[in-house]
Amino acid sequence: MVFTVRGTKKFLDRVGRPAADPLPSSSTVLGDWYGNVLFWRPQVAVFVNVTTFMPVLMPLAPSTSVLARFPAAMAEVFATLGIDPRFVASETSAMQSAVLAKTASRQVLGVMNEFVFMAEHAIDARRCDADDLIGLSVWLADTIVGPISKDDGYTPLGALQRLVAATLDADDGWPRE
Amino acid sequence: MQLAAIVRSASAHRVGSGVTTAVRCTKRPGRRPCDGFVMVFGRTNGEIAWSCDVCGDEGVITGWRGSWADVSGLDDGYVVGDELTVMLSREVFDAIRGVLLLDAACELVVARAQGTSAGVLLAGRVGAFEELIGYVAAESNVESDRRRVRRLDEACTVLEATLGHR
Repeated sequence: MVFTVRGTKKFLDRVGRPAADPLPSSSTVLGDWYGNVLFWRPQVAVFVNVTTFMPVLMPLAPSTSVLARFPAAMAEVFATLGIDPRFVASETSAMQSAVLAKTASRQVLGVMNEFVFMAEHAIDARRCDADDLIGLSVWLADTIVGPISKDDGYTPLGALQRLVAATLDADDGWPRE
Repeated sequence: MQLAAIVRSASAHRVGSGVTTAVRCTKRPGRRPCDGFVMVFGRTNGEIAWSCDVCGDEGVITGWRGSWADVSGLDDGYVVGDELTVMLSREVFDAIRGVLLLDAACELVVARAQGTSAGVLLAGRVGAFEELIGYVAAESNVESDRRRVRRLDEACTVLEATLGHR
């Protein structure tokens, strides 16, 4: 029950050393996450999912526990977005331990940079509150992201909703609400 | 745009210093593109004197302070890491120079780039290059011109190799 967080150098410098290959594959439906650090005051950790490009922002400090706190932060963002609680519970229960690794996808790295730019612009324009990281994550989740297809509405939220629907449809073992 | 590129480069260097920038000469002597780079010198009276290191085309720019191309006010003091240099081909550097979304440190790395006979030399701290990879990758994500995407990917590959990522 592991998930992999691929961190930038800034992130790894603060959170821990990356594991050597071969890495265990993530046991979650969403797969790997990418992590970076924003030097806001207070410092913020930004995570972006490889499969859906979903962003999750959360306080970095204390940096040693950021990976342990991440599943709860993710669940809070997903709950605010109205994602099916069965999917959220399944994902968080599969995220019992995290493996750190180096970044491997430029596409995700690029999207993460775009999110940072958009978040800072939204704060400067007073569209979002820098203290409300959940609100900021939710806002970013509904912005257009280059690599996301038209079928997913070009947004991370659209990509996540489609993945959740496909997962729930595919697995008959899900308890019905 | 050429004058703006010259101002961007010259304003990234100290006044009173001369440097061969990575700005390419746009002259076409004998109907062939000039192969030179633009040299700049920031005069103490605020003027920027520039000339091509091959064809000798030259000029003086005044009134540039405070323009959007003026990067003299940018501060990259927050960047951490050792100093390092990266050599890129002219074509790859041109792709990076077209990236509009850069933070102050990356903006200064690009503006301070120097033209050499072997290509374009970028110098900066590790932290700035780490950020630059992200910005170049972001540009690549939204670029529709396949040739430019290739150049941007090539830039990422060189930067990652320099930083020991791969």
